Amino acid sequence: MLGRTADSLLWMARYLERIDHTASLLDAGFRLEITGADESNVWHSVLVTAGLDEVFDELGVEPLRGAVLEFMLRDPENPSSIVSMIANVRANANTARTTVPRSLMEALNECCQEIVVLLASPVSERELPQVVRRLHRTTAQVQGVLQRTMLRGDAFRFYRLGTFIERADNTARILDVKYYVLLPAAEAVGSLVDRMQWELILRSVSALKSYTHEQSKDITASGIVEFIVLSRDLPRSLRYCAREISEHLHVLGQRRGPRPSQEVARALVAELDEATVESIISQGLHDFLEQFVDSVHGIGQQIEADYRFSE
Amino acid sequence: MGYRYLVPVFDEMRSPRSSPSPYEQWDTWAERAGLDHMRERTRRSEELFRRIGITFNVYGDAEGAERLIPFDVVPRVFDEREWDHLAAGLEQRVRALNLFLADVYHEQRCVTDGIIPAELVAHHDAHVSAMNHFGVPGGVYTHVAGIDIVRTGPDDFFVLEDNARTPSGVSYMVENRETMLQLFPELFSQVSVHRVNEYPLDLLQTLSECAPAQCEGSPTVAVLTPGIYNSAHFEHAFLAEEMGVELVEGQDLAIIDGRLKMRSVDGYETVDVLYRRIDDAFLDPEVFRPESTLGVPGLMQAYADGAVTIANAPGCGICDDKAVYSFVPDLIRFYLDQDPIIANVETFRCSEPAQLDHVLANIKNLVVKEVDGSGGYGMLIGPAASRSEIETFSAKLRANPNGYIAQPTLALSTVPVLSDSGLVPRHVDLRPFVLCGPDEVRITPGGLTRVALREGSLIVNSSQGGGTKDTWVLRNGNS
Repeated sequence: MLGRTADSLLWMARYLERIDHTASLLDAGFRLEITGADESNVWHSVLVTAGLDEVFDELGVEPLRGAVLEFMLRDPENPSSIVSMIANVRANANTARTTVPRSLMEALNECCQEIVVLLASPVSERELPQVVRRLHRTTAQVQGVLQRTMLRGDAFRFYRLGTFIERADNTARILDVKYYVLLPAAEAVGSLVDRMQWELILRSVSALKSYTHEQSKDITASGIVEFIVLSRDLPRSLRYCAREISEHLHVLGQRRGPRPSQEVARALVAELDEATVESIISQGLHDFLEQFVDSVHGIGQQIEADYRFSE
Repeated sequence: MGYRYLVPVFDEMRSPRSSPSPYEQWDTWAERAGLDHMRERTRRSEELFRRIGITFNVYGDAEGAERLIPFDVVPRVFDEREWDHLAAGLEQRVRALNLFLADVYHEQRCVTDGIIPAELVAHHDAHVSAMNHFGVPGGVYTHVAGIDIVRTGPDDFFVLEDNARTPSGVSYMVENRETMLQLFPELFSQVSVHRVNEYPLDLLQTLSECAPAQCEGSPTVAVLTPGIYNSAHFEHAFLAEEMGVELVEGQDLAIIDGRLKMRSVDGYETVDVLYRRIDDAFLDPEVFRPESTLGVPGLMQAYADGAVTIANAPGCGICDDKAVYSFVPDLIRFYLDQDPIIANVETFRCSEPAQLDHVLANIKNLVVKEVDGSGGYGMLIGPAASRSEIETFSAKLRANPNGYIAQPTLALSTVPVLSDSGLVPRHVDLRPFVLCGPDEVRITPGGLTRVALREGSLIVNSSQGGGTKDTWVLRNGNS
């Protein structure tokens, strides 16, 4: 496989994952707004979580729902808007086309077409829930076809690496943006504002229901940290993502010969296996997350070097 | 089926001929299936093409939109006898073109023996002087040729154009069939049609047979594309995927220790045969356009050293030229000592004063073409042109007669096309694909049928409102 093809597969997966995540974020923001939170607070917080607040500020408009939705869904100038990302998915899929099974290519084409049609005109308040659902569904269809049909060869591994590197990064970012909310202590929820912020976190990693099922009926700061960072079972937890990254690199190493990225990933998994919610909080959640994001970024760079993504 | 063709134009389904119409079985099936069924399937075909992503990028389109080339669900049918005749003619023509190119880049006997004027050969824009006296691997110049064929009667086939650079459209030949198999499975259980999906493996075989001198063991083939924004990118990816080889861009390639290498996830790997889908001018900035980044610096040197095969060979474009085209029947006689099996369309060379006068006097009845034009652009269709268009074009002709040829307007054959009002006759051409190896010439029974969808139109190019059809060659015993 060409290094450039591996690069395209990985980025195709990253953009698809980020599209799904962006949809979750918008959904969470909208939920909060219509259940009584302050509109500009909520949408500012959505922008911060997506790491887009500074770019948005340059537009010089207030972060109200309409403007933020337009910016994050449809603005072609915003490289992280869904329309920009779907164009990137398509370009990467075309570049990697020879390694993508036909059924997956068809699912990708359908997904891209559906999103283009869905976002052909501004999305109103009334349509947003429907748009979010369809974004989730169409990206999920791609993942489904992939799981069902793709040979577990190199192309699959690079694709999955992209998915989990992006997901790890997104989850860590959400926690980091909100770490101050979680700081006060390990007590049950106090004010309504706190409760909303925490819900935003859980909803945006699609984990509100599973939290109350698996973790505890009480939403507590340490409970959230433990669940989202350390859960073995939550497919968006940092630990889960790190294990997947390590697993795929391990298989690639077995197939193509060992490379340094494998060791770096294994070290990150070992760290998370040893960590407890107490150790994380005593280290400082913010420090911990910053370190994690750096590690994942480092793994990404090591993969690029190991597998000759560029000259 | 109710269908009225345009007497006296030859209709491939209904015009009288000595043998039964090859459409008989389809016609029987269509009678039962009905037009509504075919219309419903037409809608599904669009969906299928979009899903596969076999779209056509239009340069300069504001939306960067990807369009579908219209697909007509009525097949274009040949019987085996017709096909055998065509195949023999195609093989003959492509063998002659290869001998011609070898001659052009070696002794130029065709010039010294007075078959073709020197200026059409040595001073041609497509002539690549680096190819002089170079022995191409396997002796093959045109590994892949697309020969455009038109028809005017039961046994009247003509070559309209030779495409020997990087002819495209073969993915449509294969995908159109795939689509038909999905849309009308029961039809194929009733009619036995030659398969077309062996083409990619035949191509791989042909390319592998032309491995360079330095290649050891079984050759590694790669397809070179200009990238995803090229209008034929789908086809490049399709061929690479079907052959099971890498689809590379210039940025993946480098010459290392004299060999062509591609950057794989394990480091640099040797490429022995490069099936390039970029023009000569972009192949190697050290020899051709210095600003090009689509190719590989040093590629031509590696080629000269026998380290890599470039397919088609650089400098093949000479036989794409319409002035050279007019000499191909002579070249067939000269190199093969045979009469051409498929004739040329009668062609007037405006470079010759007497013929120029004839063209100017009869321009209203002629099609005038630029010798290096393509895609249906840069031509004048006399019968359809206005007086001022004719005047403008005549002036261009007088100013640069060497740049033009003229041909009579042919009554191109028609085939049925499904329209809102039922089956209607529309004009077609055919591009079969001819693979040329060191010994064997391979021709897939079928090709790309292009159809002028506008009533009365003779222009089949997709850039000008043309569509495509599945092309059938019936297996023996069918009719």
